[in-house]
Amino acid sequence: MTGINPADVDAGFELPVVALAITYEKVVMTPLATWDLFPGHCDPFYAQGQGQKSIYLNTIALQGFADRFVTDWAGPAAFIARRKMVMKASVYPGDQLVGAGRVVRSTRDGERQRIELAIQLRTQTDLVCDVETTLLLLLRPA
Amino acid sequence: MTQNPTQRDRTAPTQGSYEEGKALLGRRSPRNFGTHPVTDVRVAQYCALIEDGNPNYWDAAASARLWGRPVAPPAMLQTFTMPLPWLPGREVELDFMLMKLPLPGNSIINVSTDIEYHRPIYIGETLNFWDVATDLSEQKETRLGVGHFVTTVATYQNEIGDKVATVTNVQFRFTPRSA
Repeated sequence: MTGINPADVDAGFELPVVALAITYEKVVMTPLATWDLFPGHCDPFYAQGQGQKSIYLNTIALQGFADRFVTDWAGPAAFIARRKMVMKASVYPGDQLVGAGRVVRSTRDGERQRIELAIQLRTQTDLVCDVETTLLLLLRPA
Repeated sequence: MTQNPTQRDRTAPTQGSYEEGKALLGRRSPRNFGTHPVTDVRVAQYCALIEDGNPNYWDAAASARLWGRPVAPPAMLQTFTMPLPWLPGREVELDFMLMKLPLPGNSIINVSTDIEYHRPIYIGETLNFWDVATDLSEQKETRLGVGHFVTTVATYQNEIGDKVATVTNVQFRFTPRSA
């Protein structure tokens, strides 16, 4: 995992798609990994009372997957400076979560490249969230 | 499972009227302290969930070479101030405006989260935060139910007040359609 050369990143570039199979194990790991015990993520009866199909991933898990989508491409030296996530639908056990996105803007910011991305996370049926991410990468010496 | 009163109380938002909520706009919450430092074990649990193989989170030496110290995934920010569901000798409370702004509607769902990171989160530090509700919508109807959109801004820092991130969150507080 070495990552991109930030000077070569241009607007319009489509990032490689990343997929994650969501199982009950994954949703159960959500409270384990995030300590978020809101019952929508661990109690299917509560979730259904909320109008949801079953227990669902929390925002923190989706944020992490959106960041992983970015750093799988950009590499470990990328600093996530900002991430805005707008939720549209929930992700349930049995769903296939897929990240896709493109470079919107890439500008030099001193010794760093500022790369702005527009990302969508989807399942097989729904748009889950729109994400805007800004990352900073040190430019390599010429 | 739905009959567990302890769980229901602890994670339920404060009930009240729209006017009571409106009156608390701009009021700063107490600081909510993480009970445990950021550790590599929690990072591994989280990365296993999202299947993130980023060496920053699995190889302390590689992480330190890039960032000066080993780091945690930025998306874990809010996890490091989540209280465990039980702690010895104290009531566990979610004492911040996102949960404590009094409003009608006993159900919540997150609408948007905008996080600006000022620096990486480091292994070994303990985070805390406070928040303030900055905006409250009139009553709105969505496919989930009738309620209000609440905007809060939270400031996260470490134990010596070094600012880590600013979180602007919009939450829908509602009465479910099926209720």
